[in-house]
Amino acid sequence: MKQKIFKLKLLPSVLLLFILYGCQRDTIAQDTLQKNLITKKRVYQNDITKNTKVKDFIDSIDQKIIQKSQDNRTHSFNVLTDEAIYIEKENYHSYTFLIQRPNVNGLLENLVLSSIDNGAYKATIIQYALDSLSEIDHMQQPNLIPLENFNVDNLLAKDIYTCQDGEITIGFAYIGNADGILYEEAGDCINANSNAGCDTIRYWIPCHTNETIDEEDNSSGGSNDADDGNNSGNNGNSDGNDSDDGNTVGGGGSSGNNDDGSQNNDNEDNDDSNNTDNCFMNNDSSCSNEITSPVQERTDKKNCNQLNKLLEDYPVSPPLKSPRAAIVDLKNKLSSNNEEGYSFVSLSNSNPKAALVTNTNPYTINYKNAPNVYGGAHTHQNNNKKHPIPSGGDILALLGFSQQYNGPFAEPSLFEHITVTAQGVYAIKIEDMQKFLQLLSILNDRDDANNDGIDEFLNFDEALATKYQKYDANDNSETIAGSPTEYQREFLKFIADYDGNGSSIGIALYKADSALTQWNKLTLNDNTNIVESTPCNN
Amino acid sequence: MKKYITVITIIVCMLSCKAQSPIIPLGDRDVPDNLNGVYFKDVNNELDKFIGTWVYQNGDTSLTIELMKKIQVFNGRWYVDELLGEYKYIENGTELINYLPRLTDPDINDQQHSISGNKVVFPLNSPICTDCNPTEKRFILYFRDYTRRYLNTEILVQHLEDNGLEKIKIFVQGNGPVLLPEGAPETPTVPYGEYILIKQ
Repeated sequence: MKQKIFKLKLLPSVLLLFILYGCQRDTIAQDTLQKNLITKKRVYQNDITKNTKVKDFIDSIDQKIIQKSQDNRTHSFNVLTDEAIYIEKENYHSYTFLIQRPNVNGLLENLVLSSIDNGAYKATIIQYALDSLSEIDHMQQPNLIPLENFNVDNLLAKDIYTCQDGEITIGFAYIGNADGILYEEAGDCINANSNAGCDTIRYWIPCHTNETIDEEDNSSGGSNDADDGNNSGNNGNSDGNDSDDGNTVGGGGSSGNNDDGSQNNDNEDNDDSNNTDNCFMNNDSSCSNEITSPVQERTDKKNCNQLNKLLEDYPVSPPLKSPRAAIVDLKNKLSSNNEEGYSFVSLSNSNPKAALVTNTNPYTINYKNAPNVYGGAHTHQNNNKKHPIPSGGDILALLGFSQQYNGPFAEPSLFEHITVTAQGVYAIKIEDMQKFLQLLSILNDRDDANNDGIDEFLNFDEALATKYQKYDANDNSETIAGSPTEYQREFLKFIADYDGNGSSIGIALYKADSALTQWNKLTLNDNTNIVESTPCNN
Repeated sequence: MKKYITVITIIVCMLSCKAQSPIIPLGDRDVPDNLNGVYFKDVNNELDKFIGTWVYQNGDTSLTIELMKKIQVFNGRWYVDELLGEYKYIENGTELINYLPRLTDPDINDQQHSISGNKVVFPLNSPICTDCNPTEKRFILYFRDYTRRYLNTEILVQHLEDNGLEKIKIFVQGNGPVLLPEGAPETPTVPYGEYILIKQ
C-alpha cells in the first residue's frame, strides 16, 4: 500500500520533470532555430526608404556617382533602388541592389549594403560573370569590390580583385509566399515549417584580405579592368545550377583598402577552401560576415528596355537608319506588293542600327546572316498576303538570329523580331532561353534532316498558320477578317503550347502603340481567355 | 449475362468513337485548338487532278514535275492527304536539278520529297485568281531546293483545262523569313515566277 502511495506521489513529479525537460529542450531547439534562421525577401522602394540610413547611403552614392560620372561616362552607373533583396540573420542584415551601367559590360553587378556593429553599413560591389544564356556563370567566381568607408574613388578604381575561397550548400525550407522570398534554414527540410519543400542556396565564402597589391599588379586574384569592362574572372569549383533566388553569396572582404587607398588582396587563403566553411558568420575577425543573393534585372524589364531603344529617335548616317525610322518606313510600305524589311545591327558602344533588306518577293524576306545582325523587322502586307501577326517562321527566325549573332552583349534580351502589320507593330522577344533553345531541333529539322519521317520545321509553321486560318473571314474572302485580339489570342495560345502537349516556347509578344511611343506586353489570361496588355514602363 | 454483354458492347463502342481522329476536310476553317490526331482529308478528291507528270518547256529550259497523292500521311502530330512529288530543272540545256529518281527511292520518306503539301488557296485568297471558277481550289505545296536549304520556297498550283489539254499553272514563291548566309544565292535554282506545265 505504501509503495502504491509512493508511486502515485512520484508520478506527477516525474511527469513535471519530463515537462520541464521538454520545455528546456524546446527552448534550446527554438534558440537553435532562431540562430539558424535566415530571412530572405524581396523589398521595394517604400520599405527601403523607411530605413533612413540606407536611404542616405543610396542618396550619397547617387550624388557622388553623378558628380564623378560627369567626367567619365565609362565609369558611371546607376544603383536601381526600386527593389532589393533583403537578407536577415540574427543581428545581421543586408540589402542587395542591382547596378545598371549605360555602357553594358557583360557582367551582372550588385551593390551590397551590409550592416555592421555601429548601425552603419559597409558597401561592396559584386560582379558576376554571365554565361551564354545570361545566367550567372558559376564556374567563374564573382569579383568583389569592397568600398571601404564608401570612397567613391575606390568605387571607380581601375583595379578590382577577386577574393573567393569555397562554398557550402545548405538545405532550405521555403516558407514564403509568391511575392516575398522567405527562407528558413533547416537541416531537415521535410520536418521544417514548410509549405513548399526544400531549396538549395549556395554560399561563397570570401577570404580575408590582408595583402597589398599595387595598381599595376593584376596577376593575383583575377583582377579586372573596369576601363574596358572585360571580366577575366577566376575559375571556381562550383557546379552551380541554382536559380537566381537560390543563390546566396557571402561577399566582401573585411579590409578592402589601406590608408593610401590601395587595394588589398589575399593570396594566402586562395588554397584554403576546406577551412572556409567554418568562417561563415562567426566572430573570427578574419572572416567576412556578409550574406547576399544575386539580384538580376527581370527578363520583362530587360526586354522592355531593349524594345524601348527601338523607339528612340537618333540620327544615323545613311544608308543605315535608326530602328524607329525603319519601323516608320515599314508602316508606310504596308501596301507594297512585296514583303519589306530591315536587319538590326548591333555595334560596340553605339545604338542599334537598321539596314534595309532588298526584296522582290511577296511572301518572304531575306535577312542577311551577318555576325552582328541580332534581329530584324519586316512587313506582313495588308493586301491579304500575310496574316497580320507574327508567323511560325518568324519565331524560328528569332531563334536563328540568336544562334548566328556573334557581336557584343549577346544576351537573350538583345534579340528581337518585329512584324509590322496593318493591325499594329508586334515584337517577339525571348523570355526563357532554355525553353526557346528546345526549338533548335525544329529549326535544324528542315527537310526532315534527322530522317525520322517528320519535317518538324514545316509542321511548326503550319501548326500556327492553321490556327490563323480560322479567322480568315470565310473560305473565299479577299479580306482577312480576324480582329487583332483574335490573332493575338491564337499566337499566345500557340507559344504556350506549341506541340499540343503543353510545351511552351519561352518567348513573349509585345505590341507598340500606334504613335510608337511605348510597347505593351500581351499575355493571355487563362481563366478569362482575354488578351491582357501591360505597358512596358511598369 | 445478356445484360452484361450489352453494357460492355456499348462501352466499347463509345470508347472506339472517342478514339477516332476528327476528320477535317481540306481547306475547312473549323480547326480544333489541339491538332494532335486530326485528319485533314481530301474528302472530295480535289488533289487527284494534279497527279501525273507535268512539263514546262521554253527553248532549252524545262521544268518537269511528277506528282502523286498519298492519303493519311502522319506528320508526327496530325494526318494529311497530300500531294508528294519530285522535279527536274534544266536551264539553257544544263541540268541543274534532277530529283525525279527520288520518287521511287525507298530511302526517301514521305516528308523528304522535294514537293509536298495540301494547303488550300481559294480564288479570292491572295494572289487573287482571275481565271478560276468560284469554287475552284488551288494548292500550295512546299518546294524544296536541296542545294539551298536555307530558303523557304513553295509553289502555288492551279489546274487548267485548255481544249482538252490538261495543264497546271504554278507560281514559284518564297514563304516566310530567311536568314541568308553571306554570299549565298537569294533565290532558288528554279527562279521565282509563273510556269505553265502540260500533262504528259
